[in-house]
Amino acid sequence: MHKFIERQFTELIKEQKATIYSICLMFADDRTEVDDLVQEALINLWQGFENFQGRSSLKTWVYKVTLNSCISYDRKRKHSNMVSIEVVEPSLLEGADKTNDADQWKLLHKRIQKLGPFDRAIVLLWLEDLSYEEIATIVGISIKNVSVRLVRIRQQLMRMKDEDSETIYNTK
Amino acid sequence: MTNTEFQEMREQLITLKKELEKKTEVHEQVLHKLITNDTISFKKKEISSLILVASVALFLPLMLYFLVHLSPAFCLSTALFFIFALCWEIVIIRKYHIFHLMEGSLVQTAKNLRGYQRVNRFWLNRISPVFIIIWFTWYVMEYLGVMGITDTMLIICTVIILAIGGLIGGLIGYFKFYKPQMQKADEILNYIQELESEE
Repeated sequence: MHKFIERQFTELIKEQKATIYSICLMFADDRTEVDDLVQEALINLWQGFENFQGRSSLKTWVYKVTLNSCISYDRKRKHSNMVSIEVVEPSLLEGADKTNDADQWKLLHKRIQKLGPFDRAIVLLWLEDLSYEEIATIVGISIKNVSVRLVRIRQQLMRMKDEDSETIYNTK
Repeated sequence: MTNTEFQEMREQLITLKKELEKKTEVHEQVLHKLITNDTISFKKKEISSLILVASVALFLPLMLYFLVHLSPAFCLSTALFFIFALCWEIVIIRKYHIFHLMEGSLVQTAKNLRGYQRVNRFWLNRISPVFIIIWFTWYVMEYLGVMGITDTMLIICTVIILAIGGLIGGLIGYFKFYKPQMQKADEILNYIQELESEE
């Protein structure tokens, strides 16, 4: 029975790995922290998997647990290096082959990183194309509040974009 | 930022996820090792901390009674405090089991974690200092009585040295572990308050 649950869990992780990894990436300061956050999220997902009663969709549940793991992550608690989820490329954000994409991801990471933890979660969920209702359920606020927050986040991102443009202009 | 730019951000995330899909691998064995290791280590940690407190609650009063020959009232009070600490720990572990907290909404989870930290803060700020001061004073009096020490200077020096040691230990614990944890908790709470003020 345990083996069966573990197999189901592995399948789920295989399906959702890009979502889990991208969320952790946006909450991490560096590469080591990405691994730590992914491990933390996987452990929490596993702990809750057996008791998951389908009150929400599996996808929503994965978002909830992963985001909660990232927000409440204790940066002093490092996992052992013994177990790490392998990424073929050492640093995806600094990829050399697709310079343009890598630069865009770096910029996206930089801007999202500047937001507060809940705003970061809201914008990530919105970028993942979740409905306002789903975002509201995951974050635990009203639908109206989600739309208000998103307007504010847009304004913040706009300011960041202006600052970035100014920096580029000044360096030129 | 225009809608097109936001759409671009969304597309960037999609390409990033596609890249992650290709470049990350989930090795079944590694995953198996990770989940079993951590589950065991969490349970081990939980059980070992309970065994430690239970052993101290049992052996320390016996040791104080039979080896140091302190009064039964003092030994019994020490045992009672440790039993209280043990019950407290069990209740807290059950109430705020971390893995159950992760499944609520982000705001609810952050609030629960805040509650957990508040309970810890209450224990550290209110219960522990009161107990330590009473216990330490009582212990010194009992010990001096048993040893028959009457030299006032020696008594004062011993008390001062022990108090300074305790103070240094307390300050290190406060600044190194307690304060950073509380700062993070307060930061999260501020975000929640900001979110809720708009409800």
